Order: sequence, then C-alpha cells, then structure tokens
Amino acid sequence: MSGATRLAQILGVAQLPMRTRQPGFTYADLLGRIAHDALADAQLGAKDIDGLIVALSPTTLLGVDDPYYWGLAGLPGADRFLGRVQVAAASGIPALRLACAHIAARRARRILIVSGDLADEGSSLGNALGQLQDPFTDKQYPRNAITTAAVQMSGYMAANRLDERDMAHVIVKNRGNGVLNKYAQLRQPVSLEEVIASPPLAWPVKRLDSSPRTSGAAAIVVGPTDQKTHHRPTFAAGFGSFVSGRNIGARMIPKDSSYFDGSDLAVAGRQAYAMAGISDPAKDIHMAEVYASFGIIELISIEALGLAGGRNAARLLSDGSFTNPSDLPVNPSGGATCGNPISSAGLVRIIEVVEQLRGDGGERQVKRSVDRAVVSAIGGTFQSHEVGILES
Amino acid sequence: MTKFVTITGGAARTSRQFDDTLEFVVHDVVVNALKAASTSLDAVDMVVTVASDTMDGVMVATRSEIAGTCGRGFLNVPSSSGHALAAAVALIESGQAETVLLVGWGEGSKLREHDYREILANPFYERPVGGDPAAMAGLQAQRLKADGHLIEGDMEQYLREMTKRAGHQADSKSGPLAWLSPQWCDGAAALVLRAEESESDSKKGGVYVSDVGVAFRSYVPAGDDMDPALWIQDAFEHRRDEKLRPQHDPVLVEASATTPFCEARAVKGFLAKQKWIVEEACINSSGGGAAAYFGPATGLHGLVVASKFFLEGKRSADPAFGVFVDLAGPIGQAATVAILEARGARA
Amino acid sequence: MTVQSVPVDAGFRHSSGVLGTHFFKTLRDEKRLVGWKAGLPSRVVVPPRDCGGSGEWVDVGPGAKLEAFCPPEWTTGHSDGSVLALVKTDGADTSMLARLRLKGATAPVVGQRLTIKFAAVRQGDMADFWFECTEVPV
Repeated sequence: MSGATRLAQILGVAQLPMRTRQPGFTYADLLGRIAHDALADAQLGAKDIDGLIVALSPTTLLGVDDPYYWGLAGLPGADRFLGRVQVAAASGIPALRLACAHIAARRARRILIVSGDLADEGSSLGNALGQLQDPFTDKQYPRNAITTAAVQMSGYMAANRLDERDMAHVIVKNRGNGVLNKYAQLRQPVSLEEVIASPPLAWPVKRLDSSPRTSGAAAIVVGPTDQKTHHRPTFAAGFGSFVSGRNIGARMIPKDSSYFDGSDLAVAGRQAYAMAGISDPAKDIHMAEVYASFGIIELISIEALGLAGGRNAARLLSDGSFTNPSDLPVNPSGGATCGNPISSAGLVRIIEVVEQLRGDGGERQVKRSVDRAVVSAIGGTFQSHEVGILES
Repeated sequence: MTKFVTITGGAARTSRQFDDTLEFVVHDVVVNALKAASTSLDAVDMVVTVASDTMDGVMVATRSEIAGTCGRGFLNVPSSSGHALAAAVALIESGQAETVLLVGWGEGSKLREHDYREILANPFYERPVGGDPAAMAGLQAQRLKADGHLIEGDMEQYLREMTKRAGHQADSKSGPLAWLSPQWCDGAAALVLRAEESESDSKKGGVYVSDVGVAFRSYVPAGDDMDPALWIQDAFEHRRDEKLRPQHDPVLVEASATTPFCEARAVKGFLAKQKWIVEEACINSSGGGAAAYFGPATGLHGLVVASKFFLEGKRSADPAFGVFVDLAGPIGQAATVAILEARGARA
Repeated sequence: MTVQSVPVDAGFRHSSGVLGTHFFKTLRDEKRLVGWKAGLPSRVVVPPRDCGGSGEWVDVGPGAKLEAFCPPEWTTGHSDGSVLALVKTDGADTSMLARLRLKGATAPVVGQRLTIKFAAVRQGDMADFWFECTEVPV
C-alpha cells in the first residue's frame, strides 16, 4: 500500500565510517567530503542543488560556535543556505522534514542536508553537553542523559518485572548487527554476560548499555517525487513531531502520559503513520531504525511505535524478535549502540533505511523484503520526539 | 495543493536588560501574540523557535516548552529569524502544519560585558590572525567605505535615529566603535502564522507572506563580495516567484542586521537597486535590529512591528506591500528577504 | 538575587586535518604557502579544505592583492603595528585572512599589491607569515 502523501524523494546518501576520532578532518573538511559523496551517490552536480540545510546539535562539542559560517563555504547549495536545524540528537529527522517542506512548497527543487561531528576534541562529552543545562534546576543534581535513561530503565524494569538479563538482549542484538555494518564504530559482538558485567554508569545503566563517543558525518540529497533516479526510488511519506515537558514530573500525568511508556513518542508515531496512510504499523512497517543512545530507549521506542503489537519489547527480543532475520528487524545497522555521532544520528538512521529500501545493505541487508520503514529519534533530555516514514 | 501563509498576530519585548527571568518574558510574548491573533495555544500544531544555545547557556531543545511546545510539534532553526520564518512558511505551504507559533529570544545584554563571539572564528586560520566578528565588521566597513558605500557621519546619524526609535539607551561606545558593533540588549518575540486556502483569504485574514528568498556567504567572503546590499539582492532573486515584483513601492521596510552600518547600507543599497522609494519614517520604525540586538532572533521584532502596521490598518487603501530583511551572522551574511502583502495588495 | 557560579572546562585540542596539517608543515618546514586545487571546475582554495575527490597542492604567492583591512582604530585587538587583512594571493581563487604589517604612517589602499613575508623561526601556524605592501599606493 503506498503512502497517502509522498512529500519528497531521497536521491543520494552518504556517511563516513564512524570512529571515536576523525583527526584527518576539520569540521569544514567533514562537510566538504560528505557533501561530495552524497552528490556522487545521487549522480548530481553542485549546480543541481538549490538549497542547503545543516543538522547540528550543540556546538559545545566542537569548540566553534555557529560553525556553518566556516563549514558551508563552497558547498553545493551554500548560496541558498536554508538554515540550521538543532533538535539535539534528533536533528536529522526534522532536517529532512524541513527539506521536504521546502520542496513540497516548491521553494526549492533539490536540497542537500549535511551534518558532521568531532566528538573527541573537547575534554569530555558529558562536560560539553552539561554546559547547556539549566544551572539552577539541572546542575545541582546530576541530571543528564545517563541518569535520565537510568530512571526510565529502572521504572520500565519495575513496571514489567524484568531483570538486567532481560534488558541486555537489545544490546547483544545491536552489537551483533554492528559486526556486519562497515560504517559502525563498534564491530565486535558482546555476550549477555559481558553486558551485565560491564561497569555501571548510573544503575541500572551500564557502560555497554550506552552508546560510545563518536565522530562522523552524514549527508542526504532530497528532491522532488518525480525526479528520475538510478536507484530504486525511496520517498519520505510521513512525519511526526511531539514535545513533552522538560521535567520528568510534568510528564507523569495519571491516565494521560507516563515517562516510562513512550507515550510521547507514540503521539509522534501516530502523526507520521496518519500522514503516510498506515493503520497497522506492526504489519505495514517492514523494518525500523530507531535512535537509541541507551538500550532502554530502543525498547520504549519499539513499543511506542506500535511495532510490538501491544506486547513487551524486552521479552520479544529475548525470544528473537526484531533481529535480522525476523519479520521486523530493528536497527539492522547496530543503531547508536555501535556508533553515535550526535548531529548525524538522525541522518544515519535515515541513510540506513534508504540503503535497505534500495537493497544496498550488503552483508547487513535485511532478509525480508522491505518497502516501508520507520525512523525515530529522541532529542534533548528526552523531550523532543521525531518520527519519519520512508517507503519505496 | 499549496496553502497560503498569513501572519495573524504578534508581540515582542526588548529591554536593555530584562528585569524578569527570560522564561517569563518568553511566556509573556507568546501569550500576547496569541491574544493579538485572537487564538489560543490549542489551535497551534507546530512551534518554530530561533534562539542561540550559546548566548543563553541553555540548550533551546531542552527548554522549548517556554515557547509553548509542550504537546505539539517543534522545529528549532537557530541560524536566523529569516531561516525560521522561511521554515514556518514552508511547513504551512506544504500542508505539514496549520498554525505555527514562531518564537525567538535572546539575552544579548551579557555580551556588553564580554563579547564571546571570537569562538565563531575557526581556530586554525581565523582566530590566530584576530579574525573575530568585531574585526570582521571593521574589515567589511572599511571595504564599503573604500567602494563609496559608507560615510561615517551618516552611520553616526543612522545609529542615533535608530536608537531613538528603539527606545533604548545607547551603549557607551562612541564614534566608529558604536556603529561597527551590535547594540546588545535582551529581547523576545512571537508571531502566529496560519494556513489559508486561497491568497485572497490570506490577505483578508492578516498579513500574507507572499514570498521569501535566502542568500548566504561564508565567514570570509571574497573581497569584492562584502556588500550586504548585494546579498539582499541575491536573496530577493532567490524567491520562488523571482520574476514577480510588488506593483507599488513598499509602504514599509523592517530590516535587521548584526551591526548598524551593515543594516544601513543593506537597506539603502537594496532600495536603490529596486528603485523603490520609501518614506524615511517607514524604514525601521521599530529602530531596526542593530540598535537593539539580541542575537539571531532579533529580526522577529521587526517582523512583529511590520505585521502590526498592516494588521492595525495604518495604511492607505492602496495595495500595500512591506519588505522584511534579515541579515544574521558575524557580518550579516545569512540574508533573507520576505515580501508581505495586505488586503487589496494585488488584483 | 541568587547567583549560581558554574565552572566550565572549555579546553579543546583541534586537529587541522590531513590538508591543514600539510599546509602548516609546508609553511614551517619549507617556507612556502600552498593552496589545494580540487573540484569541478577546479579551484585553488587557500587555506585548504576538503571538497571530496582528488586534488593537488599548488604554490601560491608570493604576490597578493589587498581586498580589505580593518583599520586599527576600528578594533580593540592587536596593537603590534599590523592589521587584520583580507588578501587574495596570486594563484588562489579564494580570499584569506592574514596580518598585514604596516610600515610608516601611510594607510593601505584596497587593491594594492602585497608580498608575503615569512618568520625566521616558524611554528607551523598562521603566525609564520604575514604580508607587507610592495609599492606606494597610487
């Protein structure tokens, strides 16, 4: 079943293999290289691009503010820079949404979206991100992504009577998938025992539950739905966006929403499915790439996106669901577990889906046929929820 | 089918320094913008924000609820007011949103004490030679002067007039250092944009955003490409309906740039190129951006003033056009032009 | 008023990348300014930046043209008799920022010719070179 509305087409994609360090590149070099590679994949020239968007999460990691004044110089479409999108780790999906809006409104014909991350040049990731927390409400106690995930994970475990072993399967799955992904930063499998025995960061979140510190780059070329392409055509068919409050307590409203069950992401998911004409995601979605900097986020995302048929994702995973091969592989790339360049994280999810839809997944190509997929990302300290539907 | 975009209301506050916490000021302008638009937050399905993480030291995405995002869609476009406006317009025109709340803010007053913007220069080739935004502004101004586009006395006069219109006390700097620098202040602004089915509906219901165009130059433009009037001209030619020109001279211009001289030159040069004649009092009646600058969201203040001008019917019965100009970045190199039209603007 | 002091550790170690490293090493070790020629159509970019694909290094200078400068009285920065300048070196397709050392009281003029000068002892950074005017402006 085709989507109700196809907003735009993905004409070209490119990503750099993810690494802790990318000393061979400055931020400008990363963008120049990845822009070139995406255009080459699209078989387009610089003159074919009439819009440019940059997905860029906090610049405290880079040590250069508003680095697009430096980084975009000479890039295709730079003379018509349409803006920076900053929704933290979720930036890539709203960047695609914005590109689709400009194209559907006929304000641009082909837009290049770029992103790049150099995560190792500052002293500490946590310190860099911590600079952007409210000094009165967030700094006086250790509220950050790790502790926030720990609250979610312990609540999820208690509500569903799960133990640490149950929660570790998602990491084992993803690390196994990463072995086959030439772009992944972490390409060694791990066992359940290794995940459980890894040092705690904030109980119950352990080191292996958490994504690594990653540098990388990604780019996408977006164009009109009627553009001829040498690839199997892939389209953006729906988007959803939903923000909840910053404070956990504000999101725990009895019978309305709960911080532990993904209700917020579910709203964004429903919007995207409605736009794409999807009524039964568990049946109509063939694979998913969900941004999950911690394993718990993937479990909540699977349930929130309606992919688990109302059942518990952790238990399904321990029974072999969502693996590759399965009826609905989730994160066949290995996900953020295997590499997490923050600005590029959303675009990397999109690129994985596009390559899978095209049949270009190589060793990691999902075994079932894929015509429609969902991507999702959560940004900030889990306030912003973004969902996209892509199809062939 | 492409929708049409109408601005139905707006509100703004600027101050040399807010006497209240930023969150409450932003809440206040959002409430007043909704009131001016005769609508409520329930009608809003998407919030687009423009604000600097670095200026305020708190990531916009984590505090976006101060702009009313809780329970609705969100897009943060912090690069410029013009980019954020273009995003809001595209989202509505493409059918992805029905009613957008466009909100921006910044506490620029802290930069009066310490201008941190040297961190905009890259650490390899720009910072080591002193290429911070303040020096880049001096470099741009010198080139404009050498090309005959800048008279120092005119710049002093421009800044005096804009400061008076903005209602703020000028910074203590005098001479060139005054019109070469942003006049830092605190500010917040919000506008409501709505989808209409037809162009005529759009003009009846409010201020029709008939077109938007953008242009961009890098941190270090070419020497013969330092003129912001040319950047605005480029943005004007990059509009979707690039060949379409307003039938009459605009009745107002609201322009915002990072520095007073850049703003003055951009407006003068662009109007001359277009051969448009606009009454002096109707150019930046708000005081413009540079005389009350609070970061990338500054342009929204001028957009609010322009919208109010049309919405409160302070124009003649003739077709009425307005021009919104935004020049963001160290030397105004992220350029946006938007054409605003009100009732009876086109046959 | 309650005041919250927040110490910020803002130290960075930036890598100049493959191209930047070559640029600075050539400056330091060979006393040459080079540009990166790449792209379609090809352009010589100084300082270098990766635009994907292959390229080659080409010498630029020693002559250059002054495109703009920041008058010393218009900034509160350097006070060593040099000014920030926008310079197009001969052979380059892009302009770059550099220091222009002024000799005497004559103000520089846009368009005038410049010559690159190198420090006797170079560290491999932008302080290794500067420009000076080569002729009296007409």
